Amino acid sequence: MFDLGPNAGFIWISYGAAVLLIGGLIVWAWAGEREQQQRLAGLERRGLRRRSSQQEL
Amino acid sequence: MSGLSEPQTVRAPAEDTMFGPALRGWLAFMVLAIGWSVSRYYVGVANLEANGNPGWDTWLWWVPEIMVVVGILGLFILVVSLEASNHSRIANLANPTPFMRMSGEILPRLALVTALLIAAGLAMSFRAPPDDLQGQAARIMFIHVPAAWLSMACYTLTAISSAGYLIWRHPLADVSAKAAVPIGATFTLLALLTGSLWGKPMWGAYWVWDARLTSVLILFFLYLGLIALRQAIDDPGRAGRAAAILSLLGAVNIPIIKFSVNWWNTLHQPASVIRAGGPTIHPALLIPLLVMAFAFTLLFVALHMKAMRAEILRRRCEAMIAIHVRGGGEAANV
Repeated sequence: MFDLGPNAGFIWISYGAAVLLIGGLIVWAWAGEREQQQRLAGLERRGLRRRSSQQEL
Repeated sequence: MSGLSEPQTVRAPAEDTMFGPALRGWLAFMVLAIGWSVSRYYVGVANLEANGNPGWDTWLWWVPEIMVVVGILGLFILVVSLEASNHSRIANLANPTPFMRMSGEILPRLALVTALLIAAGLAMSFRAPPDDLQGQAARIMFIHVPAAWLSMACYTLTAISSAGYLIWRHPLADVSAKAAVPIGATFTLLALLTGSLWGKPMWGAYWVWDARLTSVLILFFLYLGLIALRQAIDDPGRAGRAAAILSLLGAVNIPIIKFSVNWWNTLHQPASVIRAGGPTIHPALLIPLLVMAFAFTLLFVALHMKAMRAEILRRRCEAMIAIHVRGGGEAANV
C-alpha cells in the first residue's frame, strides 16, 4: 500500500506540501477570526459601541 | 466600515427554528454517505484485483457518491429555504448579521464533514491502483487536480464578488472578494508545486513554458497583485474598487487557462474529466479524484466563510475606532 516505487519522494513531497499549505490556511482563517473577536471584545470593554448595540439599550 | 449596515429586525434565535435539527440530520446523512462510499470503494478495488470485475459498471454502485453530491447541494438548499421561510427575504442572507448567525451555525458541521471527506479521499487515494502509464506518480493527481480546479473557481468567485461590489456597492461582496484572494493564491501555489513535482518524473522537467503552466503562473501573480493592491491603498473603499477592477480585468485569464490545452500545442495533457464525451479516467482513479475534489471544494467554502467572518469583525472594529476618534458622538453603523 505504501510502496510508492521510484517516484515516492515526489509523491510524499506533494502530499507534504498540501498538508503544510492547507494547514497554514486553516490556522490563518481560524486565528484571524479569533483575533478580531478578541479585538472587538476589547473595544467593547473600553466603552466603544456599535449603533445597533445602542439601540438595544 | 460605515457601509456594513443591516436592517434592525428582531430575529428568533437559530435553535428556535428548524435549522438546528435540520443541520444535525444533514450531518448524519453525510457521515453515512461518506462511510458507505469509502467501504464500497475498498470492496470494488479488491474485486478488481481479485477477478477484474469491480462491479462499478452499474449505476447502483454509485449511490453513495450520488448521496454525497445530493448532501452538498442539500445544504445550500436547506440554508436558502429555511432563511426564506423564517424571514421571507432570501436577500437577508447578504447582510452581515444574518450571515454571521448562519455561518456560525453551519461552520462546525461543515468543518466536520470536510474533515471526514478529506480523510475518505486520502484513504481512497492511497488504495487506488497505480496508473498503467504513469505508475504510482499518478497519485499526485489527487492533490494537483482539485487544487488546480479550485485555483480557477476561487478566482471566478472573486471576479463575481467584485462585479457585485462595483455594480451594487454591496459591502459583503467586497468582503467576499477580499477573503477569497489569499485562499485562491494558496491553492494556485499548491497546484503549481504539485504540478512541478508531477512533471519531473513524467516529463523530465520541473517546469516548461507551455500555455497551461504559464497561464496558471500568471493567475498566481494576479492573486499576489490583488493582495498587494489592497495593502498599498489606505482608503478601504478605494482599495476595494481598485481590486475589483483588477480582478475583473484578470478574469480573462480563466478561459485562457481552461482552453489553453486545446488552443495551443502544450506538454500538459488535455482535459480528461470535464470534457465532451465523458471522462477518460478509469473509475478506480476517478472516484478518489471526485471525492478529493468535493473535499477541497467544501474546504474552500469553510475557509472562505471563516475568512469572511474575520473580515466583517475587522471592519466593525475599524468603524468603532474611527467613530470614537471622530468624537464619539455617534456609534458605529455596522
